[in-house]
Amino acid sequence: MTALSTLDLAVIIAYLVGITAFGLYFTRKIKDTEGFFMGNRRFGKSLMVAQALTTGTRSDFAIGVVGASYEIGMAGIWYQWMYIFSTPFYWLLSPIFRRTRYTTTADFFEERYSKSLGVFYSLFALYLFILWQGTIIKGAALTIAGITNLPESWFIWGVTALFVLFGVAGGLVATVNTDFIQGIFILILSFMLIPFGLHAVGGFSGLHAKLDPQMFSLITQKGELSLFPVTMLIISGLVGIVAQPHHMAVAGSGKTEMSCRIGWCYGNFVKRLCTIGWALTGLIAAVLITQGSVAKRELAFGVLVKQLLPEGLIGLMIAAIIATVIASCAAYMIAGSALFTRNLYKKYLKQAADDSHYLLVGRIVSAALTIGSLLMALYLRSVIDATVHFVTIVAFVGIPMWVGIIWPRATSAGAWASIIGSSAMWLIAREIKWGQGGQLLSALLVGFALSIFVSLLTHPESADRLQRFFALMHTPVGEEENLERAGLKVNLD
Amino acid sequence: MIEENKIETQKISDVVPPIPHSKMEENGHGLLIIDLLRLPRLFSYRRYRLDILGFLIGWLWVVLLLALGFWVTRIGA
Repeated sequence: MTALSTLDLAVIIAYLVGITAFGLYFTRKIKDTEGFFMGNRRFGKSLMVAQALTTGTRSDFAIGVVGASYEIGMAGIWYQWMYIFSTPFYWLLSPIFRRTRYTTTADFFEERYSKSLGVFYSLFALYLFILWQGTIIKGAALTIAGITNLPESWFIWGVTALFVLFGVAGGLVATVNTDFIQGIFILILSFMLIPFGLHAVGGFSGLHAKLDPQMFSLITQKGELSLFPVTMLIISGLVGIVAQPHHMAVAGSGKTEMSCRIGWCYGNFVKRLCTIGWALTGLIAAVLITQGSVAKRELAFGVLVKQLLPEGLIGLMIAAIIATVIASCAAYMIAGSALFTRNLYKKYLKQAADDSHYLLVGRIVSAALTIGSLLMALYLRSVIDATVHFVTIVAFVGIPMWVGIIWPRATSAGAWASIIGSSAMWLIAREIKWGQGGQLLSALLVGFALSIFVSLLTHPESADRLQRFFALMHTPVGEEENLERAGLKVNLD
Repeated sequence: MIEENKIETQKISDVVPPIPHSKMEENGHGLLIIDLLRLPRLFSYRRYRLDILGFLIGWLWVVLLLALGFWVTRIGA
């Protein structure tokens, strides 16, 4: 028996048909791999803001923050606000991504360090994309199934089919152009429950009257989100942000350096604003849903939707959730496809082929990655475990990126030592039962220390490699003639 | 290797051969993170104008968001 009314179904169907037609319209504009993967780097400021907001905002984030705030109070906001202090750094980092002129983050590791690190990163990122997409699909399907009482697997298959249609057909152009619409849906997702919820609990004063004052504190005195773990999550977030595999496209596909800066930085500030809405929704859930009455705290969001929203708006909420899944997964799928096609297939399997051949490979790989994600979603046991796992390991790969950008003396051996050492330290800290903060702090310290010491003990990278890399870093977009006149062989878009 | 007679160059490190000199970097487009280790020698507001202004405005937004988050918890208390 489904909880959806005819009006809800009509809203969902209207949304899905409209957005699919819109995405497919842009398919006609995709003629080569650069367009498919990087949108020909023609996105202006507003599209870049929308792209950063939608690819960086997922329904499972909202569901996670609402769930955490439902259980532990306003402090649950830090599951997403862990990146709030990193956000001003996006302003500084985005022109670096743009100046590399690389398509994928694996290009960075290959060009700055070595081929072996480029291959390692490609495989690492492919694993992350599959894991991430699987987690997103699973989280959304669980929530929608909770609202509708329909089997979760139906939604896993249905949502996957939709984002494949977007991504495989239209590439990044289709994804980014639909991001404007998806962005509106994300805002709806973030704030729609609040007025209904506040009305139900008797306004803000009712909220305060019914909840323990501790639930309104931004920091808990002990437990998962006390000061030390939160501080370490913030630092890990900043270290790992450069190595998130989709960020080369999110931060580097702008027309100019300024559009990249504004897009990545302010798209994420809008997301931080949305996070306040999610945490507030969690507090409302804490009043309306008895603690312990739902099997998992992440189910609180779905229960609240069913409890508070009238007919039609439940359909709109489901459409909003599907919208964020499509926006995020289609972007990840394209980034993963670019990684495989450019960094593995083109370099090691078939070096000289027409661009149309690589475009076809990119589309086939997109579909293959999606099948992997689908299987991951069907068999994943815990959404939260998968998410925490991702956030942690990506920081270890971020260390050699930061060091490699800042310090010309950093070497490939130092990068390998850093990745292996920080991962090993993290595993040891887990085994000896250190808390989350201690695990992260020890792993990051070991990673940075090994990166520096091993680099000093080994020969610098070749002069040609360093010259090419740092020439790009010091050549703003618009001054490419300097590189050409200097005779530097770099791939310029 | 760069043919230095064809273009103005700059030296950024002992292990990196000279790279093309950038006029845009001198006029506000310099990047603080890339130049972090050379900042004591290179720093000037003019060179890093875009980075500095945007970064400071970014922190202003952080403070405003934190204040908003705190304010939301105080409404109706």
